[in-house]
Amino acid sequence: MVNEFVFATVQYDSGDWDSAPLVPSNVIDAVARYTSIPVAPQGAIVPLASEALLRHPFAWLTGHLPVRFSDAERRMLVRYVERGGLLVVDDHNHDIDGEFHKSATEELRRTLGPLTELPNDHELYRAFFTFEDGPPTTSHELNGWGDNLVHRNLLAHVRNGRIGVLYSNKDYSSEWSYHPDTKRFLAVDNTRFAVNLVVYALTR
Amino acid sequence: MRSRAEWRRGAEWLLRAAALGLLGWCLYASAAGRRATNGTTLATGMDTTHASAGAQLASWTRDAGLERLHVSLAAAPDAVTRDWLHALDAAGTEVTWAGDVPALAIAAEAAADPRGSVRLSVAAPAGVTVHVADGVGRIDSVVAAAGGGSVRAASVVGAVTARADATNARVTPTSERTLRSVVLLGRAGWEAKFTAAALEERGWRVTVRMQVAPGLTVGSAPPLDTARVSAVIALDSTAASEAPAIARYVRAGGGLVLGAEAARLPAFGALTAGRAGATVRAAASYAAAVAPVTQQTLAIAPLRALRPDAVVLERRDAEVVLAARRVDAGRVVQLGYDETWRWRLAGGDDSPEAHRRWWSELVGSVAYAPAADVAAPAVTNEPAPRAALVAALGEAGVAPTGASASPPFDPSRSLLVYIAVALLLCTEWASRRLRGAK
Repeated sequence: MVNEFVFATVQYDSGDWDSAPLVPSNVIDAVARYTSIPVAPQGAIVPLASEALLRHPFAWLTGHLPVRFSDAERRMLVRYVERGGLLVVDDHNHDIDGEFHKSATEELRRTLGPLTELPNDHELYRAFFTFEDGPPTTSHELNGWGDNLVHRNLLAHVRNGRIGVLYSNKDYSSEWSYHPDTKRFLAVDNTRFAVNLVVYALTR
Repeated sequence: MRSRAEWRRGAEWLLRAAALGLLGWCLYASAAGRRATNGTTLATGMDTTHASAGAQLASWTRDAGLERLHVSLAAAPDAVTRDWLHALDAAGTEVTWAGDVPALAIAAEAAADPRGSVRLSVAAPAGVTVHVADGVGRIDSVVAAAGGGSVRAASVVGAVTARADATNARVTPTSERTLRSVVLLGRAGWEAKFTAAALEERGWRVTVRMQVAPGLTVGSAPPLDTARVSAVIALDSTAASEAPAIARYVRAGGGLVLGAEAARLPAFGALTAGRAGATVRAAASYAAAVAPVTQQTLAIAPLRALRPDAVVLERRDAEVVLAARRVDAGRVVQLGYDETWRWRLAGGDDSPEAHRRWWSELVGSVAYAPAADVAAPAVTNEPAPRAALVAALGEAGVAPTGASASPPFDPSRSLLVYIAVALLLCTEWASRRLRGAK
């Protein structure tokens, strides 16, 4: 079907890009469950250095291991963001001293410029569901895993008033990596913020 | 045999008679002689600027007996010269003209563009090179195709001149246009998002209403009237609820860009330029494609069964992909393209800017955008010199037979004649005085 949303997972040469394989299906389920946005039932895996990335204006990047982009990956990332793509990067470690966090933020800074804290009253947090306090906390933060911190803000690279790269230290990759059928056991669906990410990407 | 004194007196009589004869000729020519001539003057290679032609025009104007005047022009005359000739014609002298004056015309119109560009349209015979310049210098050259061509200038200074051969057409651009917001109605999706982004990046104020769930939208549509909205973009079926308001808005002078999906709705049936056909290239082809996406490789939903008053703006091969029509006071342009966002995101290096420009010009072509003011131009406009010449003097003709290349000699207006009379009389008077007569 034309004009449908395809959840794209970014494949990069270094690290473990496929560390959260259930996130795509869970996010797709959430988008289909709450919105009328046409959504492809299957996600796509797209190499970061590939022109194919330019066919997916929303892309998800995660991992545990150190990240080092190749020159081709850097060039494509710049092109992607300049043209209006939104890359969401999530630290699967939830650890500010972790290898992923330090290497990924350094790579993003080198490639695109500094990341800044996204204010917690940003429109992202009202794009569909309302999150009064900014990014929702994850069970990994609340249970004291990783760096034992609750990260109050997400980081972002903003271009032309729109978020080009959104960086999360909150480990949504772990939080959302479960089979969608399991949602029926949750008191509050923790993938609601994923809907905000997708709706923001599609409307701003 | 006559003496020398008698010869001298005879010569004095002859001098007197010659002087009187000349004066009589002047009197006769001034009183009645001119009406006896055929009164036709042929002016060849007339300089067409008033500064140079002024003396000739003044001479012809004083010539009360001039019945016909034929001027051969090397270029279109300026407005003063043309009007003067027209006045002569209206005053009773039949004025005709001939010459290779190209059918040149120019129009300069401030585009409905937030960046303030000016669209310069030139009409000229096919194959003629037209140089377009403003008060600062040359802007561009256009080789006229069938009927002419157009140039888009980011800005112009003063009047704009089009020159072909020796003929100039000049016009002052209309003042900048007042632009209001653009309302975009669509489903939350890449097409709506990147259309809004392209227009905003180009300087338009965009108000979006995107549906994300049944009964739930991001943004809301303002009341649609030309006091607040320059154009509406209805991309898909989510615009159906606004169709009656959009129809009223368009009939009142507003602009509408109608996407293929929206055009299929019966609610927009009275506004469409044609029937939107099925999409002929599926999105699946993009996934397999290696080459950058271009405007020529976008999926299309060709327009079928165009209305008689629809104007085709773009075709791909034989398919109509963009068409426009007027609906009462408003304008509608109907898209046959689908997923234009792919052109911006997955196109070549210049595709983001091309996508922005294309959308901006599309919206500008239908937008309700009244001129900001109507100040009088600082220079005399001459947008179509040949047309003005024909309007004043009629179509070009041939030189009348028997016409003289210059006006007939009028002794009553000749200084030489009066000097000659004075010399004759002075000589006669001197001769008499020297021989002692009174």
